[in-house]
Amino acid sequence: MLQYVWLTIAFPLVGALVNGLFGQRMSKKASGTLGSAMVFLSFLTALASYFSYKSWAAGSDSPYFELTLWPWIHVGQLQIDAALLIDPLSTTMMLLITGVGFLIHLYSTGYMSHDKGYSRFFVYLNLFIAMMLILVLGNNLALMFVGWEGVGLCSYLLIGFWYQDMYNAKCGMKAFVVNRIGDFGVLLGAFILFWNFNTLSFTELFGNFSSVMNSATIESWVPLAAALLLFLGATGKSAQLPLHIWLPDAMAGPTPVSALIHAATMVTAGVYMVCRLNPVFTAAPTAGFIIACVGAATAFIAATIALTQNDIKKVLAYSTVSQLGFMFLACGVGAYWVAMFHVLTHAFFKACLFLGSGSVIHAMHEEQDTRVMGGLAKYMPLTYWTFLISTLAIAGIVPLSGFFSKDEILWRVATWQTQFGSAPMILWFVAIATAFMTAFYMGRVFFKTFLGKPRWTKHYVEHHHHPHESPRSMTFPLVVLATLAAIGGFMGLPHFTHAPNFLEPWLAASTGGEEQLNIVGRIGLEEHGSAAHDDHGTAAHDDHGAAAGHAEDAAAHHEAFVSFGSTETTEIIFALVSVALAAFALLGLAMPLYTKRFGATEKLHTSLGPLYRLSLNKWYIDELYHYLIVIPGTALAYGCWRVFDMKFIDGIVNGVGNVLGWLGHGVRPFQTGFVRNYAMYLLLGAVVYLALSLLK
Amino acid sequence: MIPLVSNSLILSAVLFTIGVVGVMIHRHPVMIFMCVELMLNAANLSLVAFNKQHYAENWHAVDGQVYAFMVIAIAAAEVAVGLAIIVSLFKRRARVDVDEVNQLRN
Repeated sequence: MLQYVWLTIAFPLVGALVNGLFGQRMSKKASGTLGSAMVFLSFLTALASYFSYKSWAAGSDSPYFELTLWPWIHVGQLQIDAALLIDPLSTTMMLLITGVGFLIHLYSTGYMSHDKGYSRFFVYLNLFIAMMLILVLGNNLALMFVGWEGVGLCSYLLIGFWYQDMYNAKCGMKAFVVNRIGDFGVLLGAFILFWNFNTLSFTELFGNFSSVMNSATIESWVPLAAALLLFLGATGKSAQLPLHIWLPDAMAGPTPVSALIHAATMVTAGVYMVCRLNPVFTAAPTAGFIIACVGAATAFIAATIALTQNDIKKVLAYSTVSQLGFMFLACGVGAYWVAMFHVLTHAFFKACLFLGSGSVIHAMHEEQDTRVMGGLAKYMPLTYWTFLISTLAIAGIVPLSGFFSKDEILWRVATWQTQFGSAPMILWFVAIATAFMTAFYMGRVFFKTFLGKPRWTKHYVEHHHHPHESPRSMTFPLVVLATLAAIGGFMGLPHFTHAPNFLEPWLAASTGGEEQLNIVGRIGLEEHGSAAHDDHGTAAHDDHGAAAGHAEDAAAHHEAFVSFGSTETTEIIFALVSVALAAFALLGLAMPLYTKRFGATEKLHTSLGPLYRLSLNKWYIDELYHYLIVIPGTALAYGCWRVFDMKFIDGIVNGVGNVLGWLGHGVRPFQTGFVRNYAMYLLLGAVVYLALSLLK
Repeated sequence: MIPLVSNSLILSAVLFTIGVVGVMIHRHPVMIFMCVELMLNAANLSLVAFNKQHYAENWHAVDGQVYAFMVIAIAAAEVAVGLAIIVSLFKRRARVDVDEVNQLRN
């Protein structure tokens, strides 16, 4: 069965082709059904692949199942095949993309039902699913890059889906341009890896990695440079500082797109890449530190912006940026499976939140401003309940999915083994503050939308009577996603519960196998005697084999910076603190402020003055870029045009023409047209020639 | 024998000079044409004279004469074309003056 895994990519590709070629002539129902059915078939294939992979892996030494489809680029040393890689990581992503993708396709059949570009929408959506699957299934960086660019293209097409409005088209361009900045990092990172390891294939890279690294032919900056360049790509695709600016504007696209591409799947591609290439990142501890810091900073800044946004989708967009920051924080501290865990739970609750907001926007007839909503709970109960569950999940309330993944991240940060002194403590405080703000802004948007008194505009009341619940094609995905958001966390229960944790051992094959521990051991050797390791008593490595063993021990017995007796008690207390903070933010702050005492918010805004404006204006980052990059860039381009192009280039071209013109002007008098003059020239020529030959 | 050759060459030079001067000073195409013919004939005379000088007593060697016939044949063709142009010029305008025909167009 595993040989047929390419079908997962083929189905949506066929859907996109058929809809693209014949969609205009098909009925809306037919093209919507086709688009959704293809993704559903893809999901079934993915499910079958999952089960056959499990049975295959049971009898195999390597976790990697390679499927070479055809030779692709064979030039000299560069040998690239169109090859797929099936391992726990790619299987998990494949299931997520096709599963959530199918639900969102289904939702779109309802949401887009009044749109003129109905079949075009499904073309892009199916193409996106196919490209995303290429991204996660490709067995080499080149194929991954094809998917990487492909999803970027689909993102661009879908953000500017309603291109008749110039604003949407500009948002699409912004997303594309900002992503290009990151993509060049991915390319350079891939070049560095190829240059040093002579391969782009993941399996070959992982196979050689520890031996090449241990043979010390690689200079120490190589993994660091590769990791940082690849991470630059991740900051572009996954909207991290300083390239996060495109994601909030990407909300110009239809809401299902926001849910599928800009929340659940595409933006997690950066996290996927870091997890996929985790040996490279593990080999560069400084890169891990930088990633953790960027992740934490992004999480924090995006959360502060989300606190004051009024557009329901903008809040969710900044929330996505913030949650992606959490994922990178997990990657940075080396907890790759936790990052993937958060990718999964975030996909469930954030897709549900976006689809819920789409349902609200649909009901309010394209109104996105939460200031004129309120009291929607009794008109759309299903949307209300599913939104509530997802809000609680993202806020981190026990026992919903967000709690488990976020708590695991916080715990991994608190117990991070690092040479960077008090970094774990600072990062943990930033993260817990972000978690607190997350609970508050999600509570704010939830209470403002669904509870309190209706604040609908006069225009709305006159024209639409009252809001209505969405059709079943839209509520069904909401219910499924809310269920997943509620129970998804049980995949990865924390250690203190002593319950079986499904996700960690499953993903360990891809993200933390023996291979990686060997490298960790080597790093331990290099940092022999460093302060951080001395503190935890893990630096005493005598030889390489022992180093690996110690690293494993260290992974199991690290302690937080504050300890309450045993590790287990500490973990429980940390979890309780985060739940208590989230509950306080939700019920103690957001609920009274945004349901009963609505007037108090105005006072709060004025008393917080500059801070409020800073948050409302998104830290002026867009303005900063405008003045630092856009304006100088435009000026430079203008200067190049006026000086270099108009003076220099045009000068050369016109100069050649002018010189020839003058030459022509100079010799023109000889051409009189009088026959006698010509005869004279002939004669003179003959005389001169004769004279010369006689003189010689 | 030598005087014959050198006298022929002197005559040839005189004829050629008359032809050149004629081309330079005449304005009527027919006159210019005749002067050109004069120059051609001067050249023919030189060719024959040089043949005489070069081959001396060998009566079978007639390279110069053959060249002269070639020149005469080509001159005949040239006359045909040239006269045709002159005739068509006459048809276009009453008075024919080469100085007035100094433009290819109009």
